[in-house]
Amino acid sequence: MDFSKIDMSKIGQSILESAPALLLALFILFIGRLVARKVGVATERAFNKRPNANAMLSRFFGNVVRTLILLATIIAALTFLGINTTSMSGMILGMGVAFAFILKNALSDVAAGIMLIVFRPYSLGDEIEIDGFKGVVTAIGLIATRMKTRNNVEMIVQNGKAWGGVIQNHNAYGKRRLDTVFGVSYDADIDTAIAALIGTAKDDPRVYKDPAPWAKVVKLGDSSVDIELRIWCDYDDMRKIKMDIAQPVKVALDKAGVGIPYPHEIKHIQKLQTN
Amino acid sequence: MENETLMTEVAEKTHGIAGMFTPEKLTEYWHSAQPMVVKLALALLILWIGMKIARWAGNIVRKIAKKSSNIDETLGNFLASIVKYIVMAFVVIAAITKLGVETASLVAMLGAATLAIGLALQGTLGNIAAGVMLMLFRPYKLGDYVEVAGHEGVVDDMNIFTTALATLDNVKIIIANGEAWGSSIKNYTSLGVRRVDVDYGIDYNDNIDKAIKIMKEASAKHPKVLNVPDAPWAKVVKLNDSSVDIQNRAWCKAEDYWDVRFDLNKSIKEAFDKNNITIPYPTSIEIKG
Repeated sequence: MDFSKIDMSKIGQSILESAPALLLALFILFIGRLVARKVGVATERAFNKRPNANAMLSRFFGNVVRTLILLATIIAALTFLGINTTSMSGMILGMGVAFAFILKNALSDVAAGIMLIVFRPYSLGDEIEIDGFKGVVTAIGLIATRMKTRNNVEMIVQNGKAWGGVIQNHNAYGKRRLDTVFGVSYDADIDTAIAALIGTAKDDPRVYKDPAPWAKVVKLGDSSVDIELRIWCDYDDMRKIKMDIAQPVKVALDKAGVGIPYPHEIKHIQKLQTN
Repeated sequence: MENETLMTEVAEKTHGIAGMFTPEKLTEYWHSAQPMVVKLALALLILWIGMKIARWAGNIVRKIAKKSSNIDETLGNFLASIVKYIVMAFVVIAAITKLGVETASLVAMLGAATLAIGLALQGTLGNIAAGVMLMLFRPYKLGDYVEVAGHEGVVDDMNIFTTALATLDNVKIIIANGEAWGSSIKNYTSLGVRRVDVDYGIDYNDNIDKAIKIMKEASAKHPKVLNVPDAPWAKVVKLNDSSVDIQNRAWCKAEDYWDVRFDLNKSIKEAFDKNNITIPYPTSIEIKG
């Protein structure tokens, strides 16, 4: 290229001619950025003021609003520079569609995360079961929920699996019913056995008086009459009572003379007839 | 030489810029800016009126929904807010167009954003559709004992997105409506009465007629057992490995099902004891050569 052919005077002139448009565009960008930031912060604050606010979610919405305003500003600035943005619209649409498809799964996890945060089927510290994973919730993110098992294994489950599927929340209601089956001997008196079970349950101060402990014959099993003991308690006490109840029940049944049978099998032994 | 002309030209231009701010020029600017200001005011007016219309349209939808008997409040509010936001989107675009900004790319952006949101909410939208179905067809209502998506419990809460069940031991199960409507639903309550079917095995040496009579009597004696649609029933259903299995069938109200079932276990076992009918242990025969 022959640089000497460039007419410097023309360049200066054209710079001066386009200067106002450039300045205007820069001014619009500057104002737009300011507005975007202000509106973003305002959005975040507005979301934070709601009764079931969540800081992370508010920041997310603030960021979305800010980015959208910034994009609109850029388009407006380009228009003032004299660039035809109509032709760009196809590109924007195409890119948007492409990204939407690429990020489809992540997007639906984010949507599910928003739903989880707004509707709160579970909150931090709840014991839940999602998609076969059971644990205590340690963090609810936009993409995934983190849980840990009682023996300290961390599990990360995508929010889409929680919101789109089945969530079991073990302590949502605060109180729980603990069901335990005890098999007693067919020879024992059922009323005595039931009285022993209910008596043991009532001796535990953590067991609710109302609804009162309940015990009934749930099954006539192969070797034992199966009596289920149902007691109501606080969720926090349930696991402890579960571990504490078996021993006193055994003592009470022994005292009442009710046997807990071994599996029975009656064998008849026949001699094979040989000629 | 060339540089000099350039310098003078630049100087002239600078002078020109200074000349841009004389009073006459300023009024001239005002005149040229006037249409812009009018446009801005018009856009703001459109925005203001449009927002009013959007809110008004939303309220109308809510009122119509309230009058209709099979659309409940959650669904009504949801439809109302959808209408409101759609109207608002149109209003914003109209206002921006009035300002003279090229909206084609804005619309494209909005289109892409809508697609992204649509894809993100695909599952949720499916749940909403299923929620609408559940509310219109009502396969279960609050307080029913049901089995949904493999989980049993009493229906504790229903909204547009999820159904919550309380299991009998009080675990809360939150099921996405898509999952609930997409699977088979078992409703144990809706038909009012249920039949309690339990097999009792008696010894091969016992008198079957006597056992059947005892079982029928035990069922009839229970205060919660009904005589309609059928009186208590008992028949031999299987000649099993170690026992003759007699099935006892008794009708009762759905809410009494478990009480009747467990009470009958006890009373039949006790009645068998009293009448010397044995419930046998598993028996096997070993043949020795």
